[in-house]
Amino acid sequence: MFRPSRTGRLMLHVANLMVIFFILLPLAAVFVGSVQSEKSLQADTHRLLPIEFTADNFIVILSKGEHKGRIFEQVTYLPDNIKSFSRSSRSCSARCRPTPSRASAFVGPCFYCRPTSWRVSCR
Amino acid sequence: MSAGRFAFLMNLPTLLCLGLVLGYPVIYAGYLSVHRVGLAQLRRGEFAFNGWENYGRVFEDPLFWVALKNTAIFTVVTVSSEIVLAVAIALLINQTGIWTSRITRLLILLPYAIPPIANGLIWSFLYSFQFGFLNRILFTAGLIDDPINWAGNPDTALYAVTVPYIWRTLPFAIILVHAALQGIPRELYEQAAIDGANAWHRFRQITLPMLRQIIAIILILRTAFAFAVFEEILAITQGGPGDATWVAAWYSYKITFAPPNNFGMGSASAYILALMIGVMALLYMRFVYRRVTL
Repeated sequence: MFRPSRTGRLMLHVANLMVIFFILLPLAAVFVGSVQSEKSLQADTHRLLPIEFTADNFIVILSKGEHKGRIFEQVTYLPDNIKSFSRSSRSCSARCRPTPSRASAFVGPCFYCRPTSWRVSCR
Repeated sequence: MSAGRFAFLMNLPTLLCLGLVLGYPVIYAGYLSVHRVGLAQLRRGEFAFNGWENYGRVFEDPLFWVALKNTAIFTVVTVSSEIVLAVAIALLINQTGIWTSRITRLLILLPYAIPPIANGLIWSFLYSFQFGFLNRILFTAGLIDDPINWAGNPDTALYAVTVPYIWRTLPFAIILVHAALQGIPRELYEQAAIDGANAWHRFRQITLPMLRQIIAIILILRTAFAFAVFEEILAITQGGPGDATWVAAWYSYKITFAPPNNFGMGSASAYILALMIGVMALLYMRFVYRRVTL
């Protein structure tokens, strides 16, 4: 209808880019956070992009915890026995007898199976 | 059967559903608000009637007034920002000749699809003092040297919570304003251009008056919703630091579900909040909406 001037068009483009940045900023941040390990996230708090990309976070969720990538071995805030995470999980699944009370996932030591295994899901 | 009776009969299932789904909790909360209901009473199953005592205790609680003040600030900041931004962005995406406007129009509904609690979690990740991306961006741009504790500083926390809320609810206002812009006849602009009106004059004399009605609707709806904000507070600050982000809905929640679980007082505060929203909506209808529709 009304064709803006060259400067006007430039300003409109800049305004649009600002709006797009505002819309995508949180989603982009979450995406970047999701494709890196906890260690990488905390290693350099000034870096925008991760040092290394990984799909392990998606894999562990989509496989319902069956496939845990190596990034979970890097986590520092969990006890040392996290290193035996995969093994513990397998043995736990094998030993546990599923009952309605045990159906929910544990967020602590699995006393039914191995007290040392951490965050084990008994299904 | 008369038309009126038939209409009543057809509406009866809906009325019954609404009565059960909405009416029962509202009435039960009203019942709880005039009874002494705590964990001990729940265990015994006997609620002693205590009249207006719960309401009195809510009004005497200094935290309630802090929550109310925070809610008022939150509502004013979010609603005013939303209206200004919604008009500006709606005008922006209305520019059909600008290719970036088409991208904005495509992306604009994205935040509206995010569930409120997920939105809160996303932004708490963004605001994180230790590894938040907002600080990373500012570091990269060279704007800060030390990380800023956006959600952990009592001076910035309430304003930090307003941004995620605006981000999530802005698309709704933009869509309404954009739809209203589509309804303005082009001839008005063409005639104004012939008369020598510039872009600012066209906006002031044509666009803004034609948008008054929709702005009034946004004002009413957004005020009511902003007054009852809860999810972002829960996910980002949980009322903290201290009582910096205690809002009315958070107050009701904490009084009810945090020990000592005073369900009676929580219901009373929820009723007060609902009453305030109702009064505000009525005032808006009386003084804003009617005036712009006449």
